[in-house]
Amino acid sequence: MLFNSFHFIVFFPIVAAIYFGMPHRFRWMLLLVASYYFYMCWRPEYIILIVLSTFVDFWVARKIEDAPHPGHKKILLLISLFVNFGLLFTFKYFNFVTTSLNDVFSAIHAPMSIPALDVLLPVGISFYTFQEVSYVIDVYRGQLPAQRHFGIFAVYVSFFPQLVAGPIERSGKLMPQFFERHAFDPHAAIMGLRLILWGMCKKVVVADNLATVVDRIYQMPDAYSGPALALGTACFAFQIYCDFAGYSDIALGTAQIMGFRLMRNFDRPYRSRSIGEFWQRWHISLSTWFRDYVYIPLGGNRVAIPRLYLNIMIVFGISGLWHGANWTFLIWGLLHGSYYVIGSLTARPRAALVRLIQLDKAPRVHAVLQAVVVFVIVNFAWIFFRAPNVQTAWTVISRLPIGWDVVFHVGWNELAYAMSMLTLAPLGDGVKYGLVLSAYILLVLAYDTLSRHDDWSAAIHKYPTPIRWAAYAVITIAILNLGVTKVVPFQYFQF
Amino acid sequence: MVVAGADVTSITKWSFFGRLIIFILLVCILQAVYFLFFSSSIYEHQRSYFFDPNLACPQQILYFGDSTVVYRCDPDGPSLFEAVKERLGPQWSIGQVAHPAYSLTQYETFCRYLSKHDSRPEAVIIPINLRSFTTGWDMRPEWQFQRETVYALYDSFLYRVFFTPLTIFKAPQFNLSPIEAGTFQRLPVYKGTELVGTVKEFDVSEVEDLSQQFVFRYMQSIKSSDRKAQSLKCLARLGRQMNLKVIFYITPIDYETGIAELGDAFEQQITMNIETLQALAANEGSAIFDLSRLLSSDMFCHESAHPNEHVTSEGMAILAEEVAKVTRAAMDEMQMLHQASDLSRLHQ
Repeated sequence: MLFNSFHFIVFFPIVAAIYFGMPHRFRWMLLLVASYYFYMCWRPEYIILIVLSTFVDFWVARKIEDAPHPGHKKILLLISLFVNFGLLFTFKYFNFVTTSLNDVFSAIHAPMSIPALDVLLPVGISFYTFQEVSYVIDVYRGQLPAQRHFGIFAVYVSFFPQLVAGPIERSGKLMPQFFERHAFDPHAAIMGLRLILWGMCKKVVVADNLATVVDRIYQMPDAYSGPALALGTACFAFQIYCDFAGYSDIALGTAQIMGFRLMRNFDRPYRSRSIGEFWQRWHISLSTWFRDYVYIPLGGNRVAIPRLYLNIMIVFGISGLWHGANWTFLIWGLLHGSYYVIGSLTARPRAALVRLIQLDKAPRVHAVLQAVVVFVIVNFAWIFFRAPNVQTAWTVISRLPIGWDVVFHVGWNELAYAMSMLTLAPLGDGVKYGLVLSAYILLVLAYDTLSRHDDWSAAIHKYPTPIRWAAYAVITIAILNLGVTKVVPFQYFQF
Repeated sequence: MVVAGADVTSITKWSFFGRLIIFILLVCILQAVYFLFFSSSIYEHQRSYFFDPNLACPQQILYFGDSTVVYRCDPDGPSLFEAVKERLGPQWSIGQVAHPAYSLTQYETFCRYLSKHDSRPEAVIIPINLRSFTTGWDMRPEWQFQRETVYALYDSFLYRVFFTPLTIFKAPQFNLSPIEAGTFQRLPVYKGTELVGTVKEFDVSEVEDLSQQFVFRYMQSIKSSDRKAQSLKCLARLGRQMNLKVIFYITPIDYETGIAELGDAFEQQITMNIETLQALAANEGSAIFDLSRLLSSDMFCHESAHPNEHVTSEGMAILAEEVAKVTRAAMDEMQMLHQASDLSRLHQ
């Protein structure tokens, strides 16, 4: 079930109404049934994977807690990791590995071929797997008692607002909330509805419309030169942000209405002045997961410099592969890792240069320049993230320098052509529609990126009622009329 | 004085729901205002784009059609519709509602629309393209024309106001993209009833094996339960209920090349498919004129290596003559029936 669907608009109020209308002790049952239904709307049979991993991790965590010897605990942890990552590998990475091996066999003319599995990638498998693994590791480390209530644990794994695209919640934070008695709180409901509204706006109006531009350009990169490809990539940067941040906002808002507090997943990432800061603002729940369960166990900062850089590259490489079983994602992750390492290595000379050209005396200009540089290099990496394969990414990169003279000498024709694709409204080619849509998208992006407030719900709260209502109405009418009519699934579902 | 944010912290449960209801009503009103004033140009654009004026104000005869009706092999020559119109002469007014990829599903929708309105034609001409029953046409995502379907079936002010929101949020019956491209590529292709591959294997732009393209385009066995066959049945029934003469004909196909490529199997399959359709129509009291074998191979417009149903000027003249003849006969029959019923009313 998609958040931006009629199905969900009917489903959620019913669930919320029953939730607040029933006794607290039965609420976990409702949430479990609702969450499984939510997931089964996609492919009913894949619920088996969630149920299986839930049983295994519930059992393993309890056994770890009860195990007398550290060796036993370790074996149990390995069982859990084997099951969780085994499922993830089978459904997400097996075909990638076999295809890559078959390519190698073919290259060396070896008469071998490993057959591929005819399976679909289960939606959200990376999210719920990581959530469960974090729970088992926390129990193993003794940071958390094992959950004794199977129903609560099952709801923790499958809680529908964040089941298929996060945020990846920590058990210590989310699980206790299922024991809390939530009464309907109008204030929380208003805050939640505001988040849902803003999330829908980002997803339905901005991301889905930008997707039409991006898809056209990336389907045939050969047909475009530098300006259009740069524009397409920049559009993708905002598409993926609005898609994922929009989903997260809706998830947070949905949970908040029912009284649950989920962690924020995005904080205006394109304001970042360094790659380190970017990853503190982008997909925060994943970044902190990798920090706590991969980076720190590898030694964290307390290792020699070469090892530190190696650790960083490992973390970013795994992070890339987490996003998808493709070489393009690995390259994307490694690019971010190398940005981080290069940024760290060049910190001193860059600081000296800033002092030399007296940029330190204009901190705002310095900050803007840094943000622009980070945005450009992040965009370069997005090429690999968006391209279906390395070859396409290379085509885009090799064509990027071509055709800029059109912009500077002949005019903005090509850019205007690319921009005009924005006016390809879902209902036809109305110019008025296109202008309204483009202006609206730019307004939303400008507000979301440049706003000093990191929380639009709190920001709008400061204004008088008529202004708030006017803003709600304009956003709602835009969502109802400026979206696209074809199905544009949430980008992060595939991860 | 309105204090920023003050009302939110002091809000009660019931005032929250009261405000929510007021806001929903406000949005409904604004949506209607938006629709009536701001989106009027878009609306007009929609209407002209996917809703032919010929359907709203029909002529005596409506010619529904696909590319066979609108295509011109000779750019300066007439289309089939124009050729038929010319042959029918000024005695009857005729309009077309056509798109290169329309098929029986859309014609059924249009007839349902007509059945809800008083302004109707006396007859409709419906070409049945045998290719439209195959997976490659029937299930092709971009040829589903859901917008026309939804718009024609829910043609009321309220639906028009909320048409766009309902399609954006994929309300049941308002999903404009029911088939995804990936799903389409994985669909089966049949030769008769035998599974011979998937769409992905056959749906290629460059043809290496013409016989495979004949399989892909014509060799699927038509069953009476197929959705387009059901549309045919429904069209015949609707025609009878509306007292509307429905003139069905099977569009010509490159029969000779088909036999050359696939042998007798091609002839047998085509004959079987046509018999299935004729039997379905006959059950509802309609006839289908079989023009599938009307033209020889050289009368098809071979602008691509793929087999198609587009015809040359020479072929079109023959086809137009046949369609006009059938139509004239049907219209004469209708007129005689009208006269007979007028007479009997007069006698009573």
